[in-house]
Amino acid sequence: MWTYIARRLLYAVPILIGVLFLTFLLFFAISSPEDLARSQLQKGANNDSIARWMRDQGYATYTASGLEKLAKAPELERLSKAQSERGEDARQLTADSEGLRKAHGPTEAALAPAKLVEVKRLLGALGTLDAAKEATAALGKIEGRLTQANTLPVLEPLVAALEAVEPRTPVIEGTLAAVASLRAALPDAKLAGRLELIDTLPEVKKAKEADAASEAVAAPFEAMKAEAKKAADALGEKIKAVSGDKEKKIDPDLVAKARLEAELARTKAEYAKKIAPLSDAATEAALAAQLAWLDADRAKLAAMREAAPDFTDADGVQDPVFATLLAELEARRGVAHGGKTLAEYDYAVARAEHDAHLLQGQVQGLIITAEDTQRHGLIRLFVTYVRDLFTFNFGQNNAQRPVSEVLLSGMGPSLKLMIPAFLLTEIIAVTLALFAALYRGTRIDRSLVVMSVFLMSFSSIAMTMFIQKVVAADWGYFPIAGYASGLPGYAFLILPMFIYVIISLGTQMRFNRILMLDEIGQDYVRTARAKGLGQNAILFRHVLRNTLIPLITRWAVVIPNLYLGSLVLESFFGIPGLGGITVQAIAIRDVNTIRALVFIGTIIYILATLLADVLYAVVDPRVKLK
Amino acid sequence: MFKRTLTLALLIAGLFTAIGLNGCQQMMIEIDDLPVVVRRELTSDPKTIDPHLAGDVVSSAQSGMAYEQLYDYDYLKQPAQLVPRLAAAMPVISEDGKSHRIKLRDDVYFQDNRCFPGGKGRKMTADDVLYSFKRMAAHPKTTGYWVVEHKIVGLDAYRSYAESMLGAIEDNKLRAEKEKEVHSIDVPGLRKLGEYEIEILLTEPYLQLTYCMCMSYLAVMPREAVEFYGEDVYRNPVGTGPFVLKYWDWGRELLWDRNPNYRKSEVFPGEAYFRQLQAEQGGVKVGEKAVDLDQYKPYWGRQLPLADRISFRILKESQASWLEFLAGHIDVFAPESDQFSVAIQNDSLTPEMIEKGIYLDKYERPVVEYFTFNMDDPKLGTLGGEKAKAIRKAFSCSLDREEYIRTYLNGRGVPARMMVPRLFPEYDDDYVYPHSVYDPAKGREILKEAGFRLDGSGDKWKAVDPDTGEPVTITMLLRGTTQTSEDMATFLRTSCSTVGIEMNALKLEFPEFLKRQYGGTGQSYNAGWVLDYPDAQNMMMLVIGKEARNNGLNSARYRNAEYDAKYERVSKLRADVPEELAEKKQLIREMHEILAEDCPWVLMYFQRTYRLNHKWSLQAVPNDFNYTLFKYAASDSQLRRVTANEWRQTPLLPAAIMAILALTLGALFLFKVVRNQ
Repeated sequence: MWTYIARRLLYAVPILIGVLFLTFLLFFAISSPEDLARSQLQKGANNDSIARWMRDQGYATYTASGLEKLAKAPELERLSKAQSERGEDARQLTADSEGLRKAHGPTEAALAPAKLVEVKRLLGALGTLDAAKEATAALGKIEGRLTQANTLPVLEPLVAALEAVEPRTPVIEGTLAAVASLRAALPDAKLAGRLELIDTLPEVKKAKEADAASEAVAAPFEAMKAEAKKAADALGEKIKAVSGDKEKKIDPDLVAKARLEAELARTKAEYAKKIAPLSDAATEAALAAQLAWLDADRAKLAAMREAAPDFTDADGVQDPVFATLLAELEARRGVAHGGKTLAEYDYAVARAEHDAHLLQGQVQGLIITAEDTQRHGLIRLFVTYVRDLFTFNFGQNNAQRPVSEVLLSGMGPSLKLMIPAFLLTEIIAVTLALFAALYRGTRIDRSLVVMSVFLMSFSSIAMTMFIQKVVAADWGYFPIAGYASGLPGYAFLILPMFIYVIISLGTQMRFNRILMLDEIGQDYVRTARAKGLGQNAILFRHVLRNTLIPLITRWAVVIPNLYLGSLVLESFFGIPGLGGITVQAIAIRDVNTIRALVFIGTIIYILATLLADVLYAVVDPRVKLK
Repeated sequence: MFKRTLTLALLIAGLFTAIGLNGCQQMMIEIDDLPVVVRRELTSDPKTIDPHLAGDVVSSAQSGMAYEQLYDYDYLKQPAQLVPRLAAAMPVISEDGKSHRIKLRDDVYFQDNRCFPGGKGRKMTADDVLYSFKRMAAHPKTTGYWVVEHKIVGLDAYRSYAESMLGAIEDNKLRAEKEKEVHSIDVPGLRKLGEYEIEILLTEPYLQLTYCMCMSYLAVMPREAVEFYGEDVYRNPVGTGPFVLKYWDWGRELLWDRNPNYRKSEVFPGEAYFRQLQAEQGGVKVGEKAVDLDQYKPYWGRQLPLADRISFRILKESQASWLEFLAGHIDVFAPESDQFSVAIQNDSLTPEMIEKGIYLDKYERPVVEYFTFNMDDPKLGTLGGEKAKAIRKAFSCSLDREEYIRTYLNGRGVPARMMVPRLFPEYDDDYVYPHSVYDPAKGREILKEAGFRLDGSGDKWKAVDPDTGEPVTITMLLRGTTQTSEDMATFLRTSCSTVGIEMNALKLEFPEFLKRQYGGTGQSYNAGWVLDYPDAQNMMMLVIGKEARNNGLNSARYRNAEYDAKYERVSKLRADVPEELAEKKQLIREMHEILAEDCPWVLMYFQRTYRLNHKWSLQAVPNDFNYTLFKYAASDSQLRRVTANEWRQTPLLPAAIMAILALTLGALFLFKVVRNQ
């Protein structure tokens, strides 16, 4: 028997695949994912949102349009062109910013000597509140020197110079406030052991926050770069895995046709390039920080120039240093570089590189898809489709709810209604059929036949509406509609069950009666009677047992449908079962739900027929499973 | 054997009886253990309670239970009037119209929820508002981005950036991390001016922004909820609104309880407000009927929401809703065709309904039904020249809208006289769009003048093009395959024959209809539009040239530079400024005239709803743009319980007859069995 079961299960695989192939063709030939997207998005539907919806729902790999546009050359060409343009942009921008970097370079070099670095840091210390973080660092560096000196004399000339500057800019005010705070914190001018106090200064705290904010501004650039690179690398790996030279397979005619599209894309890219730096908040923030810093520098320089004689004499700072600082200032302002600042360049380069990486990824992905599609076509798509189902990856329904969750939640109420209703119907139908067969031709038989024809003639919807109105609403014997979990929930199910029995009873009884009549006329019944067996023994022990084979066959067909519930009863009685879900899914073309229902239905059907075969062997000793 | 069978049968019968009685008892007791419990029904579950994704009426209304927006509409003022909700005042708009500065309330708290530290809802700040704008813009599944598309500086770039960052990530965890990163990036057009003040910078003046801020798409959500619940936030609402979700039992019921932390300043209007209403607009109307304002007296100044609990039961079949309504288990019900004649006759309630104390509300809704011709169609569109124009115009003359509404809708419609609903201030009483008037004789005349030959008499005519010998036909696509579509097809065929046009009405499944409509592959369409906000611009935009494209709103593909220019001006005019309103009305009239000349549109009707209310339900004044009205809903649970119990009569006679019948049959059966034994 086990061999038989195993063989039957193996047979089930091609059947399942066949059914899935049919649903696959139905879904992707009749109703494209674009149509589904449109019906879901309604007012929000446009080309972008449709593409986004399809990708998000996981249709990208199945798209019918993907199939019909098998040669993706136009798209490929467009993306390749865009990619190379953005790459070129990145290179050009890098070259443009070179000059700026060169101007920046000597400044750093000139300021390299330790002493001068300290001077620069000191300037920072005297700088704006915004630059106070730099002050912290600078003060940290000159800790040794200040500790030796035990005083703040080095600050004095600068303070004096600043105090002399008119008008007092906010920068100068801030600087003087910072120095005053320092003095207050260091009353004895003794720094040893007390430098940690610097960190507690409100100005320094504020500066730290500002600094953190500026880092936050820079972070997205890095993230963008890293992300793009990662995506490109991953796709690169994929490409390697698939094959080498794919571009050759592109149809030149299609490439030519795509020129117009590519031209449009280029225009669009140029437009994007123009507005991108302006529309991005990060750039604006970076620019604002840069300008504030420049203002501070300018103020510092002005202050130092005022105090130049003393300052240079005391610290040996020569004019070239000022010149270098000025150059840096000019460079930062980008006067000689088309009005762009370094931050702008950095951002533009990052953005172009990011775009180029992404586009490269898309191009590579497209090549892979085109290649794969060309190579495997429908079969490959179908394999993905089947794999998803066999791994129970049903995806989400149109309302973004996991399909598996929807089915599980609906299956409970459906089974709770249908299994007892089905059992009750079968018990009554079999009993009455036996009774009718036994009294064949009598008034009892005729009454039962009339009753079953009467029940069969009623429309199930009319019957449901009538019974619900009279028994539940008018007489109040049962709740009108509703559902609850647990045992009390059955209160809501009794009436629908009763209706199910009434709706199904006529047909079932008629069918069973014919089976019974067939059996009751058999020789073995006559023999049993001749042997003196009682009627009940003949009916239940012999006739019923022999009619079980056709009954089991019918149950094997009916039982798999029980899990789908009953649309009419569930709708009218507000039972949250699968009946309503199924119809709703079909009405709105919820592909993921339908295919999952079909898949599960097929599996249950296969198992039910297998079970029926096993039961044949149980009820009829003549049947052997080999 | 017999005894065993009998015992088993009795046991089963006893079990079912016990269960049944228990259940019935439960139904009778109900769960109205609070003073004000409102009971409503829905025909389906909401798709989501994530306001940024809520694209349909049911989802938006459910989102409105838990979430609020910066602005919404005044409770009873007519026509609908904007009021600040989470904002402290109306926006301050700069002279060039490109900057909207909004001060926020500083007493708004999110609902208590486990997504917050310690489960305690925190204060809402400007960051939350900006975060919500950005979340909506960055969300790949939102259907609402159109409300701000191309409008806010940098937001489009932000959206595409978000898409680049998140689009390719399949791993949910990584995606959630990246989302955080994306949501923390600043957008130039969304500026925080202070803890409770924001500024929105626009690319162009956008007068309708405040209306859009009333829509659920721009509701305020806390970052914590999104990060805590991830995708599941769609069924775990955490807003600032008046109700908290107790449970959502899919397919069965949604139950909302009062939010105990709802701000104390939100109260039901007081005497002064109602006096002002009386003085300014002469009271309140639902449709044509004046509302008795005295019924609101017991609620004056009471803390909102009025209801302690609101239940929405999911009842897909209208008969179930209807029976539940009649039994007193549901407070409000809008009858469909099946129940209409039982409840309403001659536009009034039937005596049975009146006896139950039920009252009727009838009102027009900003939902319009119309026909569009595809102007790119070679036969009926622009290329068809004067002949095509004549066919379009003749078609418009053939439709007897009153008859359709009377026969097929039970009066649930109002013939559309212009594209603007009557509820809007822009509605022009003195104007009638020429293609909304029934006049088949004129239709035939138009066709004759255009050179068509007409044969026939009475209501049966046939127009033929003498040049080609072909009959004049129109292929109309209908949305849906339901009885409503069948009725429409019948109506169109009958109507068109009165002017000699052969109507080929195709009933299509909704997705298929949309595919053809938005793909421009149909000849004409039976379309509908639900207005989003009370500004005529929302309607007039359906015919502008830039929307005449695939997947655009202008399914007629109508292009007219003059119309577009007037639209540009109309969209910048306010209806609440008298001088601007006058200009706006004039322009809208001129736009109608332009359309009348080319006839790309034929108006049908605006929807009209009939709503039955039980006497214990506080009368609601409808406002289809306001999804946060449930905080004003109230029902007297005690009265409902008492009345429903009075109505519930359980006659013993039918049960007794059935029992005797069953017992007799059973006894007969057993007798036979025993005798056989």
